[in-house]
Amino acid sequence: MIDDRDLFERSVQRFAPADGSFERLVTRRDRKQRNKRISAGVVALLLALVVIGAALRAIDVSRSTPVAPSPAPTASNGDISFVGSNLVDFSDDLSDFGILFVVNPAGGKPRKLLDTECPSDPDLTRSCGHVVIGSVDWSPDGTRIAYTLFEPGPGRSGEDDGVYVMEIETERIRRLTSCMDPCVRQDDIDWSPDGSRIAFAQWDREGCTPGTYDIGSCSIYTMKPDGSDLVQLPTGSVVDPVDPSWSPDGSSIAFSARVGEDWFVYTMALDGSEPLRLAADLPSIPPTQPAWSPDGATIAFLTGQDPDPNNGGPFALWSMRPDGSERRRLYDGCCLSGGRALGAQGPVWSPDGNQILIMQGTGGALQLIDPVSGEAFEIPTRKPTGAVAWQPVPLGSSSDRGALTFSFDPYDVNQMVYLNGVPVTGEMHGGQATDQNGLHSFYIFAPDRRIRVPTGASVSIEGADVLDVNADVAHGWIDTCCETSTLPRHLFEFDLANAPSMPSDPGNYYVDIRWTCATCDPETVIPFLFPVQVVAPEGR
Amino acid sequence: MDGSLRALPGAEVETDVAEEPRRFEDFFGSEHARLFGAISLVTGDRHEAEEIMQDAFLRLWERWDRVRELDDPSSYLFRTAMNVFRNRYRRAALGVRKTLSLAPSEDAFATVEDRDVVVRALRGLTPDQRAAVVLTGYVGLTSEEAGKMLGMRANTVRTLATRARAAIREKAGERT
Repeated sequence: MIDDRDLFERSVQRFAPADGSFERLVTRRDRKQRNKRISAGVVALLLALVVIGAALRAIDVSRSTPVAPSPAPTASNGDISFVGSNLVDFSDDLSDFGILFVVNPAGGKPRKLLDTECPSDPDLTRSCGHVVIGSVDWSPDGTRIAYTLFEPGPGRSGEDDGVYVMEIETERIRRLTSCMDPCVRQDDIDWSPDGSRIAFAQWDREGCTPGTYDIGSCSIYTMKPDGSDLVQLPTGSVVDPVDPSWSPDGSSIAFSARVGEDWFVYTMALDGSEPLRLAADLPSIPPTQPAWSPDGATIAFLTGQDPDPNNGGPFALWSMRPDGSERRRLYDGCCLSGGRALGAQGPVWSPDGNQILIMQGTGGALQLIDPVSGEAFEIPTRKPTGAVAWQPVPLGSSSDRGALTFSFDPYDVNQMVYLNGVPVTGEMHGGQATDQNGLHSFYIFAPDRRIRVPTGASVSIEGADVLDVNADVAHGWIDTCCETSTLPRHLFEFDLANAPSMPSDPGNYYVDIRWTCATCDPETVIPFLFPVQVVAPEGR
Repeated sequence: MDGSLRALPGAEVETDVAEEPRRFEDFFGSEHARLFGAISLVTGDRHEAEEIMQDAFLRLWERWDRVRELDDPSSYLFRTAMNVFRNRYRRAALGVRKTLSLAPSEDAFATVEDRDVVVRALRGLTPDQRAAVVLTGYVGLTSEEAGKMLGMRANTVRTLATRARAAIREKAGERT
């Protein structure tokens, strides 16, 4: 009979710690403390620079060259999808990378779209990290989502690695590729604008990681959405391309690639033309992850991801014309502290081209960036851990119902109202409303009578019966209302389209919303009267 | 009122001088060799083990005021070390995304010397299997305790450890 412990004890003899361990620990602690002080100083300095920069921009607007998106998008904004975690506390360095959530761009409680459940080992349910959803992208019609899986770490079996497509309505999943030796990962997925092909990057051996120039390699492949007709994309003299992004007309692809240990962004027409190197003066803060805007006028990209994933930042979001001109630094993100797993993800353009989505890094926030002003809006929702994408809703489709979502903080007099994540400041079909105490005023906008209700709310139309539309809608953060003194923005979503008392005639009405906070002590009812304008949907 | 404290009826009266708070330096001295050995078995790499050990001790040191009050700071240390180990491997793999980070390191067991039967057996196992068998077989934890450290269910730990033990026994059998 073999005694395990004896065997181990004998083996451990071979692994005696080196002398001076404690001294090294002391040095390390001192260095960490010093770095913390330096980081705090750098953050303060950067914040000051950002403030000064914003002030200068505001003073001299005429010098800036805004990159105006086209006013004619082909799709409206659906939900945002992101790889997230079952865990909400990142303090113990735990996070999941195998769960895909979707959330309204205005924020709120996300819902699970896909949970890989660590398919090779169903027992692993807590921060298992067995498989990672590396990248995601929606089909142009918003009905399917493509994603890549890979298994990290040594000893990986790789049996689940590959490209997958899930049909949202049926939840049917189809595996398109496998990743067998020498392939170690397929990633950076991007669906072509006409939906006919999917591009992705494949890593062979060590991929394109620093110091592996002579060992690993990367390539871009394209295939049909059923996995057939897999072909490698020729990139001429440029080797090791990754991060493919189709131009909106499908005639070109933007990508990033390394030359030696430097990185550049390229665009390349698919007619066999030689790639055009862009952002050539930024190799020391490597430009990567180009993303073509829906109108084709702009390419957004990131720079400055720290090679050390412990640092998680800083990073910067840039935009430029497809020829590399008019480059602008739109947004600076800094810094997530240690213990995170991924740096910034994105950029992802909103389907209507009016916003850029970025993820600050594992445990950071989802941010919407205005592509003209660079202003940022943090989506109030669960913290993401990995890749992000944005569901398009083709204009004129049955699912394009012009949803009204708005969020507000009932304790903030100077609140903003957001429509699908965009501050409503322009034309409005609603009006100003004031609560009974006269403390809060805000606007609402109801383009298609469609509003969704939060759990616990009741809605009435003036002159009509109170509608019981208290459906169990998984939106809204009502449950958090009394647990913290600093309230998050509350997302109110109503769906009156099918409400029995909803007037069908276009006109102006009032919606009486009574938000009851049952967990408040004492129970609190916050009534609001919203004027809404019922507008006949187009074509009716 | 003279300000002195009186024991409640039935309560034990502590007559000793209050215990000196446990010093981190002493804790390090008593635990680091055992931890280093365990991590070395899991990683198969002295340098990696040293890094993980340093990370784990540093985290404890930063929270030492609270950690030293724990009933079993040693368990907390091992748990922290296992978290560091798992996250290092995961980060090494995840960090390579977008090509700007470190590649997943080569599994060090592929290169470690093979004179030792345990080392030879561990070489063929996954990191999770190695961690499971070392925590249960060497550190002496139950599957439940090891599961908590590794973020797994106890059943999973048992399965992993059983496979690992079988491999070790097979190697031991080969030697004899």
